[in-house]
Amino acid sequence: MNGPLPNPAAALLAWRPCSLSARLARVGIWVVLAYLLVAVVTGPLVALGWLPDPGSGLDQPIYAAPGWSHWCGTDRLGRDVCVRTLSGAGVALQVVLLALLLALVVGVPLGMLSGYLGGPVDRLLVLLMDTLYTLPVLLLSVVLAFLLGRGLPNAAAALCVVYIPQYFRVVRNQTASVKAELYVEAAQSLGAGPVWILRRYLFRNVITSVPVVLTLNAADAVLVLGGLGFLGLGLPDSVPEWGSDLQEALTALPTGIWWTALYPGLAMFVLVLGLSFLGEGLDAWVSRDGRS
Amino acid sequence: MLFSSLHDAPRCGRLPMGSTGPILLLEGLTVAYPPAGGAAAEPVLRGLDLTLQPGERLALVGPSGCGKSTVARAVLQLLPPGSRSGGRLELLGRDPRRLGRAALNRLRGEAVGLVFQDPMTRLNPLLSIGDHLTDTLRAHRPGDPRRELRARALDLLQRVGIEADRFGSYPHEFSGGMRQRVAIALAMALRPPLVIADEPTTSLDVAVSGQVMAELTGLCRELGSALLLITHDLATAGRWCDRLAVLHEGRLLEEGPAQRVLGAPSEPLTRRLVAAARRREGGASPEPPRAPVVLELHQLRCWHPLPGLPWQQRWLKAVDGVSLQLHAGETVGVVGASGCGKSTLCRALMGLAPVRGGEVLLQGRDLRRLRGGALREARRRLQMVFQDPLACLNPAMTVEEAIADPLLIHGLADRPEARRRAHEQLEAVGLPAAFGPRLPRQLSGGQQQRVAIARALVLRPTVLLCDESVSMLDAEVQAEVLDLLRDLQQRLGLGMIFVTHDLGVASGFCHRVIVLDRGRIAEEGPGDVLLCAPMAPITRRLVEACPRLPPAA
Repeated sequence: MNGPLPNPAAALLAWRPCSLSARLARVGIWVVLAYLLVAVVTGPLVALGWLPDPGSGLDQPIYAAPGWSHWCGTDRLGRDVCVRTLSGAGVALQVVLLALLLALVVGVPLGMLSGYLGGPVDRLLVLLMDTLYTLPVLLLSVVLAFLLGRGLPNAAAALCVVYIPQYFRVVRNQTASVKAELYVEAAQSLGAGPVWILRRYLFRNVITSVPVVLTLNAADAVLVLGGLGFLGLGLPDSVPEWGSDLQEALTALPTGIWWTALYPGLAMFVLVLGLSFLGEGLDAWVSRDGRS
Repeated sequence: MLFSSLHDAPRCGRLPMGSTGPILLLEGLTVAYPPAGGAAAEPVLRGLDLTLQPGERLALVGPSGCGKSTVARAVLQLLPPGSRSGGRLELLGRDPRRLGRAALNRLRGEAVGLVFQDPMTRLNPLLSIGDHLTDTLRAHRPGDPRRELRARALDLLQRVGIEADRFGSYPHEFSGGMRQRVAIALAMALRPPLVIADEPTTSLDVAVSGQVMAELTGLCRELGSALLLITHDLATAGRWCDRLAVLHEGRLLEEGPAQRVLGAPSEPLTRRLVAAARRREGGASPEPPRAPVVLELHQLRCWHPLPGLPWQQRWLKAVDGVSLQLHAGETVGVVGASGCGKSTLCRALMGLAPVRGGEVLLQGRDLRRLRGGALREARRRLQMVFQDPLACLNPAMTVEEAIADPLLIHGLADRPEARRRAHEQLEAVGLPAAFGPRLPRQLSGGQQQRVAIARALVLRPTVLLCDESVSMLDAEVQAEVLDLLRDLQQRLGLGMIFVTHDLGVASGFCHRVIVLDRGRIAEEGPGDVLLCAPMAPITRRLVEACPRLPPAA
């Protein structure tokens, strides 16, 4: 292993990988970084008045074609499609990040506990998680989003339930195999209790497989969030979101208004692609590391 | 290698087995592994010269890291991709580096059989023993009828002392020695003119390794194969091989008949290695000190229930009524063949295996009657050093974290204080404090074992259990670690229980030795007395199995 690099940004710029998965991962990193930049920058720009407010469009023409005043045109309420798409990046990233964080916070400790304790606790938790896992992703989150109502944390909660079983499974299996290692027994012989062993001995050896699942799930979560928005669930109307924009664009599409559908769809597609590349690259890197 | 495709290969004819030249010829062989982690590729072999005549048995010995195993990998072209190799390398008059894939596959197996250190990881757990053999035979003789292959496989198994009814057994049903016999049968299946055995008996106990080596050399003699034995154990090398080659830092240091090299070594390093090996053959046992008893076992029993009917409970009596007294500053050796219950004894004392009956008195307090905090406090006085130091250290924890952790577990110090004490401990076991931020796998085996010792001693125990703590180290490092343990014992007044399968090591290191057989004490006394005049049959067997160096000239 190399030591800590002095400057990660410089290292990333200088990184010229040769394998296909690493090259894809590099593309993924740039895409995700670009979306993060957009997410961070759009809010202040709108606040400064340099970009029009994504929610207001009454004084603008409706269904204006892309042009100099509106780069990506306007939608049926006269709102600027370009700004809405840009703002959607921030919203999507926020919800997805929150959802995955929630899933991590619940799934990882449960998985570690289940794998370490074994016995009836393990069997019960596995049964519960497997039941959750068998339900179709979209169905589960649709039901939850309906029950919880609209709102950013609610959408995140509806999404996170889908992903908890995945972290649970990965972490549980890893814990169960690491538990048999001699160093865990050595720690027991030193007098360490279960909590200490979980925290100091298992956590760092178990958590290595999580980043891969995390990035792959992030790609999936963007799609599910879009699906919720498309069905009119998840986020409130006032928040610009790609899924609901696509749903609104659907009615106008037969009349030749393509720009309201294209840009949000493209934004979603590229983000999902970038996250998937990143996840696949990470996966290849981790499994190569495990082999050598 | 077993599943290699042969059908599309250009047939490379019969290997020239009847030729009179040397089987293996190395001249100025250099090998460098691909650079890893930015480090420049340091050559492992730097100009090695070696020849092996047909039917000859040559042992390649040297300290760890001298490139012994690299020789085997270079001959079979099993080096990782990106390795560089120069010089002359001829196997049966041909250079394996220039062979194509198919010819190489024929070479491996037909010209060279390989026996590895750990047979379990080399056998496919889903294939039965018989399938392993027939598969190898079929890969190299695709045309032969099934029945004939089976007959040949059965014959091979019988030759290595495995009965025909184990043909359908799976690797996990075999003991370590049996698995190694299967590996030998596999290596010999195609009657190769050269067999390379890389530390074939290191993971086996003395008695079994003697039998395995006898079978390996016997088969080699019968088939006229040459044997290249790679080992760090000089006594084994001297016992089973005619010639000895000592390797150091990738070069040949000394070569000659085994008797000569071991009896009158000419190079300083060889002399040092032989001296270290001689020391561990057992010297006079030291006098036991007069000191109070710190640990007392009364009729300790560890029985594990075997599967069976509940009203006819059968037990595996791993430890069956062991009593012993350990004084402060005293070392008691526990010796026995594998499966005699010595590891279970350690695990039971550490609270890792259930105890069924008896008493464990640590400084007069019965551990079995204590509960909760009092038990934890009492257990602090009893620490253990495991066999495999790398496996018993958390790979994600730096050395100083690992040593400081016991203090934090018991709440004996805050973080900065624990770190300071960890550095003290590092120095006490002879490692620089600069090793603190390293990870365990960045250290050598001997250094790892020092870290494990430091970690066990940081809680200031009165009794230290060493479960085969030096058996994975080569003779010289072993001697260093034993010196360290002796030194620490004198400074701290530790009582030590030293578990080993090697009576020789125990006799030179321990004040008293207990020989265990099937969970019971078979014999007890000073180690040197046991070594010279063994009374119990198991002791006699252990003494006889132990390979010894020829007397110094």
